[in-house]
Parts: sequence; structure tokens; C-alpha cells
Amino acid sequence: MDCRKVVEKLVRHDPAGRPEEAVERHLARCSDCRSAYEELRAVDATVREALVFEHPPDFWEDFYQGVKSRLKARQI
Amino acid sequence: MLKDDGLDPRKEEENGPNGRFSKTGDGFAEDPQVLALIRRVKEKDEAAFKELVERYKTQVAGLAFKMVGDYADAKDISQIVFVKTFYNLKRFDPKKKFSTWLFRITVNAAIDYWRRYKKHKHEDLEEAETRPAEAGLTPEATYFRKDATERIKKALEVLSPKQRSIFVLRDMEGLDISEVATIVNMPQVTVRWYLHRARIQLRGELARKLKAAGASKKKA
Repeated sequence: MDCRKVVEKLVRHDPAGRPEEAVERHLARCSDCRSAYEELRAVDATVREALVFEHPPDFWEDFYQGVKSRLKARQI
Repeated sequence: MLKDDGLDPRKEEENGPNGRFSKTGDGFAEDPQVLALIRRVKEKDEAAFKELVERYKTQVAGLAFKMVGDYADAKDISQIVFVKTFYNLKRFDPKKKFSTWLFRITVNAAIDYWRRYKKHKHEDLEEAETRPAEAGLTPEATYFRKDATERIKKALEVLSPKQRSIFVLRDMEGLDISEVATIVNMPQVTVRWYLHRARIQLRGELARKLKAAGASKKKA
């Protein structure tokens, strides 16, 4: 498998799983593709970290009250 | 279009229990406690509705936040979702998974909200920097988080609402493809196609933005 094909497969691969075996074999011997893969994993990690739901402390304050008010006003 | 808030029972008839909605088809049994709660809400029991909100609010708000990238918007959307849930609960099929149905309402509400308000809600990095530090984070970590979040929000904007929903449900929430397909009301093969396109677009866009950010930091 050539580098272009490997990078194409890496860009499409599911971040929750491992790349397919042929790709992993290629990564073991190609430092350019390995660094492309590391970069990709860093991008995926940045997305996951940035969108972790760590809400402000007062997020749930008056939450249910807000739902009730909207229900009364039928504000949907 | 992801317009319908309810799961259409006709779709299951069309696709069969082993079709694309198999995860929530005949083989699935919802938690009896949840079913009992839903029954009580249908009977207008307010305590039961409050309990339902408490039980699912974190999942709903978390999904809404990942869709729109803003806590205030995520709170608004979540409240709207529970109002819609209350009014549409009679349409929920108890043979299906409740959270799947709820996630569909959430995704649609987030898309509607995003379409309605995105023109007025663009916030630049300078504004983000003036927000108070997040609890438990150093100022540097808070800055990095805000900086990265803003870049990711902008990168997510290059995705269509369908792409964004599918990407968030699969890659952020970790749902399996069959459940994502049910939520967005599309065949699994279409979901996979949208997911591939979203990954390529988002990864490319973000790699460019993060590289540019790194270069400008080096210059400074």
C-alpha cells in the first residue's frame, strides 16, 4: 500500500478504532505516515477535549423552572 | 431534512425488524422504570416529568452543547427539548428506545436553533477571552480551552447540519451506526457516507486552523 492510499484511509478511519492491519504495517515502517497519523490523532483529541461537557457551576440552576415557564408559555 | 420529531412507526414496517432500525426494533426492551415514568408523565404527573428531566438532562444538554458549542445555547435547546418531549410523548412508541427518540428531538432542536440564531451569535475570540475563568482550570488552561473551542466551533460550521449531527452522534457521543441512522432517519449506508465526508472535512479544516494558530504563536 502506498503512502497516498494510507493517508486517505487514515483520514477516513473511525477514531474509536484502530487502523486496518495493512495500514498499521505501513505505519510501522514509514515515519512520514506515522507523523501524519499522530497529527490526525492530535486533531481528534483536541475536538474531544474542547467539546467535553464541563458546564459552568450555575448551569443547572433554575433549569427545571425554565422548562416549566416555557411549558406554561408553550414556548417551543 | 431532519424535520420529524417522532419516530415514524411506518418506517419500521417498511424496513422490518432486522432492517436499518434493528437496534430499536423488536429485540429492544426499554428499562421498565423509564416506561413507568413515561406512563405517569402521559397522565400529567408533574413529579414524574421532573424526574424524567432530571434523569436525562445531562445527556440532552451534553449532546446540545456538542452540536452548538455554547453553554447558554445548549441550556436553551435542552429546555426546548423537554417542552417538546412533554407535548409529543403520546407519539413515543414504548417498544423503542426512549433515549434514541429523545436524541432525535435534541438533534432537530439544535439544528433549528442553529439555523435561527447562528447569524446573530457569532462571537469572536476577544469576546471569549473576557468570560470568567472556568472552575478548576488555570487561566492558561482556560485560555487554551476557549481558544480551541472557538476554532472547533468555526470548523464545525463548515459541516452541513446533517454532517455535524452524524459526526457528533458517532464520534463524540460514541453511538453505534444503527442508532445514529435511527436518530437522523437515514439508511446506515448514507450515515457512513456523511460520516466519512464530515471526518475528512473537519480533520482537514482543523489541521489547517491549528497549524495556523501554532505558526502565529511562534511568530509572536
